[in-house]
Amino acid sequence: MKREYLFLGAIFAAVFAARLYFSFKTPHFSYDGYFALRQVSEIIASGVPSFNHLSYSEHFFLPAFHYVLAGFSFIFPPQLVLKIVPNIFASSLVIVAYLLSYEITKHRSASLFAAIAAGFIPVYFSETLNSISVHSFTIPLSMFLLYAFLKTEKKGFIVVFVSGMLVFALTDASAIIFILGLLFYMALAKVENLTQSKSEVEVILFSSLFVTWLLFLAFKAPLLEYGIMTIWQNIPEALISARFVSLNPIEAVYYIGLLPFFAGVFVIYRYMFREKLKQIYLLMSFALVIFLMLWLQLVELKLGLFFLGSIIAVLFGQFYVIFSAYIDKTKAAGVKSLLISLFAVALVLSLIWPSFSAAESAVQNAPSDEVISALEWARENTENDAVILAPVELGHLVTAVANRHNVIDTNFLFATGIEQRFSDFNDIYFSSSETDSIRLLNKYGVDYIIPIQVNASKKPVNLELNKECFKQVYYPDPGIYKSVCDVN
Amino acid sequence: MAGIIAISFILFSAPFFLRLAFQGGLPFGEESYYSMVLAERISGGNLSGVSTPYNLLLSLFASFLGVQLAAQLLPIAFGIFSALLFYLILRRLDNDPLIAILSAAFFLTVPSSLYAFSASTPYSMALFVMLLSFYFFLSKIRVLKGISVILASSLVLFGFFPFLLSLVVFSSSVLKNRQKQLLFLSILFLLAFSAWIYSIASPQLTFDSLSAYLVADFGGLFGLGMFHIILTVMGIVVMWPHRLSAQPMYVSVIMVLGGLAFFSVHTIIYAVFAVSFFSAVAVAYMLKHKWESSLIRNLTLIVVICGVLFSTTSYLGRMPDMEPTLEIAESLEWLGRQPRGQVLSHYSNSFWIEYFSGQEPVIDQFNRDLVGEEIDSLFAFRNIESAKETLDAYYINYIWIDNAMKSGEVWQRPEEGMLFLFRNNETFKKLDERYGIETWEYIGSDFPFRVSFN
Repeated sequence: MKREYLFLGAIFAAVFAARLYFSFKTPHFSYDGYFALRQVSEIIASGVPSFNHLSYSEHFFLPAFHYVLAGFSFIFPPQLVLKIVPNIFASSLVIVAYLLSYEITKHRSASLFAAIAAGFIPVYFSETLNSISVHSFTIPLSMFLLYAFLKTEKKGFIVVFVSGMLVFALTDASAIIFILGLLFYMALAKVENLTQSKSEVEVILFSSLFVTWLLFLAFKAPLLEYGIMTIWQNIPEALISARFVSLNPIEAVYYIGLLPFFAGVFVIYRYMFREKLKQIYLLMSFALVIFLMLWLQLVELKLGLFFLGSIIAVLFGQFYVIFSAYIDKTKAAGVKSLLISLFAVALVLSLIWPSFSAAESAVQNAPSDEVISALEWARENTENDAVILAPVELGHLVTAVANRHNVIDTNFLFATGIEQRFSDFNDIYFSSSETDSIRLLNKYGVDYIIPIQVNASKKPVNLELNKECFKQVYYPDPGIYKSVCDVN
Repeated sequence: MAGIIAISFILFSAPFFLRLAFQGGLPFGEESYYSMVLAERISGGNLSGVSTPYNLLLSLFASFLGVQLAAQLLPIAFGIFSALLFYLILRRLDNDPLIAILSAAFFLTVPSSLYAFSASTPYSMALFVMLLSFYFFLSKIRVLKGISVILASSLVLFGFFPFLLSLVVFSSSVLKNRQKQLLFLSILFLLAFSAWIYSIASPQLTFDSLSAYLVADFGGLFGLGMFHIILTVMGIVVMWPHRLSAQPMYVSVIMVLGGLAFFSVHTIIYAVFAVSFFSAVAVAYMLKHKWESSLIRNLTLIVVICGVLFSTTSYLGRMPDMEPTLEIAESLEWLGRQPRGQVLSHYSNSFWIEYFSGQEPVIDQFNRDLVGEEIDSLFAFRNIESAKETLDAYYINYIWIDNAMKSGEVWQRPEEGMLFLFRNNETFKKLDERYGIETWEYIGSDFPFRVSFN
């Protein structure tokens, strides 16, 4: 076996081991991970995902990823599958980045550097660690599709690309970002007079039409309801600013990694104004489309950074080639090995520290044992049709762990009157007027309340002040209260 | 030709049959009801509000078919003849037979066409007259050319935009000199661009509202299908090297784009010819082009067919649930049996109120710029005295509230604004409630003798 493949295997193993280390630091998943957990459990139990069971509103999502996880769960224990399989998918970005970088640079060491950069993109490393995120699958897939796209002149790769596109479009709506990237590449290539093969144009044409059709078919109902506003998923105004944020360069540097970020910017600058290389134009087109979408707040910040980080990681390989060639031309050529080693150390330091620190914080932010115990208590001791009020972030835990109805969760797309519901939720949780709170609790049929608030400075109302209306039924922290009063 | 007639009959009459099956044959939308109200007025000898020859023709047919049936059959008839004329024009222009037949097929599937030729509006007749005048214009017989000029001039009776469009298209097609053609296109483009610059300053025109009107797949009533838009863009690019041979179509696109900014969103309906033609050009190119991979070619064509049919079937699939429903009609017919009075409701309900109940709406599409602000404030009032002041000022007797008004059209919450005031039973009396549709009477006026419509 070639030495490079051993190195690549070692990088993959290191990334995977680091992911598992952090992931298993907590037995639980991140808050949104419980949505996937419930869907996988539903598929295992009934063969179909749950689009509205227990949640306050109908859910809308593409379930292919959940079916894949459920498939593995038939063989291995589900908890283990949900911890390990998404991390295998996410770690595979290392291999895909190597392949893509090698296709562009034809330089093995450069591609290994690209693989390291891809394995430790801080934002991607921390956010896909414990969240059973669909992006742990779609980001490596999208990079693989770019690799297949560059090889479409070989007939077999056309089939690979088309099949991959089908899987991508069935897995996540972010396939449309991929299409926009391809279209932008086509336009850029035309402007720059780069020769495009017939098969490339055909594949772009087909993919664009196919993904558009498939997504219109899948999202027909929300598109008819909200039109172009479907992009913003009906998220309440108070929450939208947290998810659709304009890109801040400092944040981008931190989330993507200092060295890869500047290396990526340098490569884009160099190939935009000084040199022409079709493969780099392809990556550049994607980076520019995502940058534009982030700037216009058309894509969620995290998702945009996932794409941007992966592309910049691949471009890092090209940066290494330029850097290496530059050293050869200088008097420092004699100490090239030393410089390359220093370069490698700098890369690892600029990525490992932010990645691990973000991962540590992701683990810390996972639901605590106490919260999970309280919800498990609720599953055993409350009525089957009980409605439990908990913070928005805890919504999926109420349905997945307690197996009870929630009042609100983070799936807003089909929620009617969401602004009112969210405002009512805040009124119940933070209002000092008990009469108003009880009236609203009655309105939503709330039976139990968990009085904690995740990631917020405001403290929820103290239910202990009114022992007549709120009876504490579960005493350990955070406590569960039963709402027993009616306001006529 | 027989195929075009048969398919156009099936597609343009599909909304009628779907409404017959699910909503007792009630026409859909708001504009059809305005046409029917006007037709009834004309039958009664009242010509006020009559704005197009369509209203007179509808009234004529209504006298022996009944207004509701005439309102549904007349647009279908115009649709069938228009499809036929469109095909004949393209054949006469020496176009590739494949493009002509594909254009006719796209013409039948564009949601804008389906709206124009199934809702009872003047657009069906305007499109037909436009095609007829152009068909005669292409004839070598002088008399027919003369008739074509008369027909084109008569388009001014349907509004300034259709007249302007046909004038510009006619002018562009007589220019034979290549440089003059280019100059003409450039000037037109600049004018359309200026219209957009002008409209950007207008706060009403937003990307969101525009996409909601113009794309049927985003819920637009008379918009284009997403695939029709994509294929049109492709067709424009493919045809670009031969742009001067398809100048009338390019002119139409530029005119409609300008018209959207300057006139109204309804001008998108006049894009159906260009959209059908360019979509056909794109598909013909896909069929004739030598592909590197036959697999990709076949898959692409399948996706195109599925995509176009998706927009069409999705649009037709909305017909059974479109308003007005039988429940709305029932509630308003009940209101019609009450003493005469002025009815407060959302302006979009005004034609239904007038048609089904015969009562007079306080606000409609025409006076909403004048009174809309005050009526909106009235809906938002939680102060009974302020509300009474406006209710008295507008001589309001009834308040008719449908489900759409309570779920976002006017109010978001159950006791928001004026809904809260209905608790006051000295001022308001609930007359009727069925299927969530409420009819209230305003009984708290300080001027008890003001009701004068009996």
